[in-house]
Amino acid sequence: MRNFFLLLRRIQVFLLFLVLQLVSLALLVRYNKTHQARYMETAYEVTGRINKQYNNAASYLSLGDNNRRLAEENNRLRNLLAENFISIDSSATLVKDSLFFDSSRVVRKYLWRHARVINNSVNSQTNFITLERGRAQGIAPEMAVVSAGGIVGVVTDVSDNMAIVMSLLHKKNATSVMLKKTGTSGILEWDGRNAGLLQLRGIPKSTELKVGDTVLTSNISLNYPPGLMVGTIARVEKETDGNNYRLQIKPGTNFYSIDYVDVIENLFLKEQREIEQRIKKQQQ
Amino acid sequence: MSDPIKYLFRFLLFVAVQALVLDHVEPLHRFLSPIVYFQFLLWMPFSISRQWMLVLGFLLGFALDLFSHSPGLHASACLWVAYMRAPLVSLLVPSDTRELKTGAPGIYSMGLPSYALFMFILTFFHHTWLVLLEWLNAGDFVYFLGKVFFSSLLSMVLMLIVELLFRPLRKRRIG
Repeated sequence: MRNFFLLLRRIQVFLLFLVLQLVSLALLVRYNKTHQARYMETAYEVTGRINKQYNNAASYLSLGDNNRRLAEENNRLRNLLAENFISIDSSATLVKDSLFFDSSRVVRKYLWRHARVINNSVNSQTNFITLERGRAQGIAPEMAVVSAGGIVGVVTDVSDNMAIVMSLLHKKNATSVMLKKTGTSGILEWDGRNAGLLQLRGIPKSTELKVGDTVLTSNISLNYPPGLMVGTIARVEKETDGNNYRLQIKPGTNFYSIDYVDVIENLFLKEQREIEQRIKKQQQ
Repeated sequence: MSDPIKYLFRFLLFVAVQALVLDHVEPLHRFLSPIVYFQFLLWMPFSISRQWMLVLGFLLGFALDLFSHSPGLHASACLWVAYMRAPLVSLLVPSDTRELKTGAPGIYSMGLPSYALFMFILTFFHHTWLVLLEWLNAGDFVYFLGKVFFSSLLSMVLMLIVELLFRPLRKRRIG
């Protein structure tokens, strides 16, 4: 027994190294598996606050660029205002019934909330963005994030006042998108090489397309509303095997300078999940 | 200024510079990421115990992990630096050197060739482990090799510059 303790004493440095190494690897593996480690929340609140201070100072440097982008977006939105459109047909007479019935039955499906970016990375293979808006402000995992230029990513993790967004620049990211012209849908991915180019797979070679065509979010995406700007085709490569194109997409969002984004909640997400689950169960 | 306070400031400064400045630099290429924060571990005095060194290494790495949202990644890599430091010192520094009692690794105490070798081996350990973990998570082999090699070179250059700017080059003469 004495010898055993002597041995322990002799290799205590190595043992400590081993224990700490195991702790770090366990943290890493557990976090990678779920991206939702509760114990990290408090820590992120603190680092998030530091990043916010830093961002307050740094955001002065990009004010001009931001103003230009906001002005462009305002212009686009003003063009969509109802006053810009008139109804020519006035032949029908409108009779008001005393019983009010809303025949259009408009129900809100997507809710937009704006948020500020306080940390952003483009250097890694797995890039994340931190938003200064969290659970207390209505953000939940799986909500879509878009900037003025195009889509940005999906919320993966929230704490009370911060949210972590998995950016499109993440090797495990896969988004369902479509070509604007033909409506053909494919999967948007990132190969980790260049923050200015994303890859679009699954577009058959029979599809008509050319460089510069617009790519939008598809109408079967769960997170994103259909028809949001994703980017434009920058280069067309033919895959050597198979009958699909491999397209290089230039993202509409400039990932090097994201300051303000909108977080979009799909209010029907839960309902859609539930009914699809039910069908799956019935099929089995 | 007493030593522990000096080290605390140094710790905070290295973490802040790495997390708030270097990690935000637009990369020239995906193989080149500037990493210098672990130079903090290299600068600790010769006389520090190996257990403390490991704990410090873990804390330093973990502090950076909190900023980069990868709990355990940098901590794990820093543990290698902390663990390999003492054997390297006993290999590279003759045991009758006076600085072993009071000094810290540096050009002035070890000489440029040994210190550069010391730096290179620890950088290599750190980067290999860091990029290996990154590769296992998501990545490919070419990325692994390229990033280890080129980032190590970049880190070496940056660390030498920091070394030349902030630390004494020659042995201090006493009296």
